[in-house]
Amino acid sequence: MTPGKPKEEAKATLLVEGRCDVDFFSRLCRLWNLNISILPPDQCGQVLGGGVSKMPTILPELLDNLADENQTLQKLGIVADADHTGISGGFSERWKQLTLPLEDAGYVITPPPTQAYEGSVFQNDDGLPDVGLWLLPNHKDDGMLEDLVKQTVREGQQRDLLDKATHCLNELPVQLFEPEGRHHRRSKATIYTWLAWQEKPGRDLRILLDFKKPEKHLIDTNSPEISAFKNWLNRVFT
Amino acid sequence: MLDSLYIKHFRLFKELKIEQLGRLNLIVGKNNSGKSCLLEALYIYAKNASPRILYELIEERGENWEEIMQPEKKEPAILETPFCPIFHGYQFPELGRDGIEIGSLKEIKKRLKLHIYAYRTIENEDERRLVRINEQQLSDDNPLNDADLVIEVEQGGEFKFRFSLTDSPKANRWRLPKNAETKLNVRFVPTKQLTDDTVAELWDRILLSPSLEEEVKNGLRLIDNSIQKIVVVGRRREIPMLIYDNKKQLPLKSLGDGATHLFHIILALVNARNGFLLIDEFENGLHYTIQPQVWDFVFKFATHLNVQVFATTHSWDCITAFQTASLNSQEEAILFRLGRSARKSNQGEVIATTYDKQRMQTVTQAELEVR
Repeated sequence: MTPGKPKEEAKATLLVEGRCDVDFFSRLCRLWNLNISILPPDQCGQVLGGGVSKMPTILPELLDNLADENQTLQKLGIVADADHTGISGGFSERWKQLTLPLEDAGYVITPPPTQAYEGSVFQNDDGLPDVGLWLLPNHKDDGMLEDLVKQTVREGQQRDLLDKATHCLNELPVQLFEPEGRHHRRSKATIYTWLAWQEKPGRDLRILLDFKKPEKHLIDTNSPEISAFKNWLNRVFT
Repeated sequence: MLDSLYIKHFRLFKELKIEQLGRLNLIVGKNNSGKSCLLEALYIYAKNASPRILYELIEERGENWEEIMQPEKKEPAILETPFCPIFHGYQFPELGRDGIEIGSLKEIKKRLKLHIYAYRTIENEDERRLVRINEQQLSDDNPLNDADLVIEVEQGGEFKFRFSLTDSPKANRWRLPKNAETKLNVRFVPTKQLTDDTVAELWDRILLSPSLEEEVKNGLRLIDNSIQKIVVVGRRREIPMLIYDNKKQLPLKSLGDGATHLFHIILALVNARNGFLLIDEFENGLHYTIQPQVWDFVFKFATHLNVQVFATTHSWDCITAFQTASLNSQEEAILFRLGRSARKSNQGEVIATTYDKQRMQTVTQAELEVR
């Protein structure tokens, strides 16, 4: 397959894992009027196979662009799933994997914050712009984007539906999403079950936010968790 | 072949380090990032810093403008002023220090070095000779203005030759030792095309080896596969003509700038055996669909004839074509971008970011901007 033209490089880039993240974080940025480009775009995810495994490959390229005044990129944030220890990663492993290229580029890697929902912002010894890192869901525990979404679902009707979805999953005669009883995909199964029961079933995370009718947001954008993430974004990009 | 590159105090480069070069090297970067300077540096390296070549490059950039403004001047042209811009920061370095260095990053001894010294002419009954003045003598009551500025050229740790900046270029040429100019076979394809004389010369060389003539034809067939023969005609043999099966004859120029550029690339390549091929703006006039085949051709003959290729480009299509061709070849291919450092420690200095085959694949597939 012939690669396409390069995407126009943005001044501010949030490096994410794949398509679901692009859907979610680009809408959050739009909601907060933040002009941040979310990478990798779809094409990139498809060709490279997407996923967190490609992030340590892409990251040095972005850091090299950050170190070159002639390039447009000036601010960089990284968001990735921590995933699960012993299965697909886990906080410590992901931390190590993503901070290594930063360390190579001269960033001072401070230890992870002891509190959840703070995020990290690393400084460079040689004057390069700060780079932010947030491991989903809360930059402390194992988990993924869907765990963050679960935490922030609106109280009332939506929360009731989510509880019902959780219950349904527990009742299933066979749980194919959890081979060998490992619970690492449960939150994903829960969220997509819950999404199937919305006004427009079969949609992805983009329906979490409704720009025409904010009262129809499925998540609470003022929740402490989402507000904490917003604070981190502001620290990185402003 | 150069395995790596080190350029110091030359034009835009304060100190440029490139850890790894390939047989094939594609250079990208914004305007005024140093792409042409880099080709110039390689040209100077290959030509052993011959003053004639240095002066040609100076003329090319119009840096001898003062001389041009005074055509009536009776005194011989003085090289001092126009030579200034080849040194970093547009000024001569201190005597004997901070000179120009070009060569391998790893093999320091093999670097070409140009240092400025002050010389004074000593005349007596028997002879007239130039003597280098040391700093001590200068700091005494000897002002520099009765001395000559001289560039000393050194290679492999050895003094090769010197030339005075107070003489005219012609005067200097005669004083050089034999073989001072030649080190490596180097061919340069500039943006504004080769001159007719160069084309005629290169074509003559090709006629001496019929297999190469065949390959030039094969190369041009990338644009028009019905070409049967190429001849070069005219009083100065300045008109390349294409001959077709049905006796149709067309001047190469009628096929457009792209065809002429391709012809020049091929001519220069097959004439650069065991040396360097430098191409400014590879993609000039070449449609993106044929660029992968042109690169395949260049990869093949660079290997076959032991040529190290350095080409510049602004085009994304050229980068992806280069990357695709690199996958079909065992040869090491390197893409490097010249930019300006954002780091405090060397802010604003020209830096190079290097992409080997693996990294090239990552950036082209991820569609990350590298130019």
